[in-house]
Amino acid sequence: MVNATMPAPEYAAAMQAELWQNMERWGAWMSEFVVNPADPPMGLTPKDVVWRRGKITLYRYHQQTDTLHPHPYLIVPWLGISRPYILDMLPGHSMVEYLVQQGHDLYLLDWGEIAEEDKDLGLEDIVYKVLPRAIDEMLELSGAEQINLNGFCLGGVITNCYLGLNPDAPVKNYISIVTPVDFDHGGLFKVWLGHDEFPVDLIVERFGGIPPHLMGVGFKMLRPTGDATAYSGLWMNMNKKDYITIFKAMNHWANDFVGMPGRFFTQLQKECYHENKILKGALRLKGRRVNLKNIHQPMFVAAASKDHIVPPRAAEAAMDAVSSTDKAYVELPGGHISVFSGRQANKVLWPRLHEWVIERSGE
Amino acid sequence: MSTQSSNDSFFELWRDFLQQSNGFWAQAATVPKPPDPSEAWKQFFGMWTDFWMKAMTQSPDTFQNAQKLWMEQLDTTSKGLENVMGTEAYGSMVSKFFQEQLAWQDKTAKAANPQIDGALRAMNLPSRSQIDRLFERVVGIEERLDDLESDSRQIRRSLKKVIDAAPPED
Repeated sequence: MVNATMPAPEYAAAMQAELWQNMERWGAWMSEFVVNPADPPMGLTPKDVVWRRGKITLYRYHQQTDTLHPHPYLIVPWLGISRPYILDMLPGHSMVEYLVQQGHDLYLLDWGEIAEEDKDLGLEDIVYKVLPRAIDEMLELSGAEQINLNGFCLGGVITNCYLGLNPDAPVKNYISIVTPVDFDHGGLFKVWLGHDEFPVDLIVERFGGIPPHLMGVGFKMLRPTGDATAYSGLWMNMNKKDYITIFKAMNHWANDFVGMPGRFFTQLQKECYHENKILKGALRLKGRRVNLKNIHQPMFVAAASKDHIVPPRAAEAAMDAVSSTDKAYVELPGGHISVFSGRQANKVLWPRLHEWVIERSGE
Repeated sequence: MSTQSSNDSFFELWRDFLQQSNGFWAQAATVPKPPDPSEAWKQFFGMWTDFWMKAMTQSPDTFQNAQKLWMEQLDTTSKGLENVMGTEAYGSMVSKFFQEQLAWQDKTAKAANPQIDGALRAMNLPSRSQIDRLFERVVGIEERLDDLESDSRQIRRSLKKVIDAAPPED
């Protein structure tokens, strides 16, 4: 601490210590970002590809415990925007690793690198073909009759539609994390996308979907000072090796945007952000109505208090929309990503989620 | 003095300084006869030095205060921008901007694409749209294979049910 009211010798010593700390920061910056700028490898939890459809891949993670819980656990991440490896960021900072180490037979659906040729991929294909077949594959491999289903963000929109169409789906427990249900409370995206003027058809016609660079612009616009805040935090913690490693991983992921298929984006903009049709029970896929009241499984809903992408009110709406009698809503500190991948997630969300699932597994 | 109260007094000083300097410049801009520039700057720097002298003696940790000031400034800027960008007018402006950009890009693409395609054909290279069509066909084939696999799995299961239900042979 440099205190200007200190006597001169102490003031000089404190000033020297402060300057020394800044020199250490510069040293760490040189070492970690100039001499050795490589980002740490991510997504290292061992896994196998067990099913593919086009670019879509279903991974099964290797068992790390003597026994497995009876119901396999499927993670359905967001479609487009970014890759799901943030869920398996770094050893010791990975939700995937945590769940595997707790004895879950874990599967993850990876949508792959979305590009122009995927422009026709929409909710119909996903909900009627992709998700049922991935689940079927899981049941075949595990010999189980039901699974635990976990949707993240827009992945939760997909799982909501799937369960809203299939009351008999083989799902034991349903987990929805930072998933928008009431799009009328969808924050800035609601303001930007939820009106007639947004030229969704022109964008899709021109690019076949939302290309990665446009996706990047949209998300950076949501929080224009985000990068400055992140780098300021980095500077203040530059003397902590672990902080730098996590920063590099997060920063790499946060700038690694992927596109979104044209059909899916059109549905998201028109049916969800503009007309809020899922919550109103007015969305029809291949002629059938998506009815959230068909969701009757035990349900765990998690929102983040500082989520500027899916504000808590947008996620909490699930509680009144479904017919589940056993349901839990938790609003945890953090932002849209940090709530499940941040430094505190292993102490807050993951154990809570694991315990909730285990209590309902009938073991 | 606790850190919180010293931080508060730092921000009080900062606010006073801003008010004083605003008042000073407002007065300088409105008086009938403009002040002597060197005298005006001397007065302004006097206020600035006075602020820092007070800040240095009142605040226990100069660097921490500077850091806090920066983070608060970022936070305030972020909230301010969020308010500006969270209006329907802003949403409408972004949409119009996109419309104009896309219209311009469309015109450019329509003018350039035949030239690019012609150049690629001359070099015996596929165009972007040809590669896209190839990708679509490959994805289509993979999807058909997946459909076949799924159907055959259903048939296998149905057959197994029939076999399991059949009476055992003597």
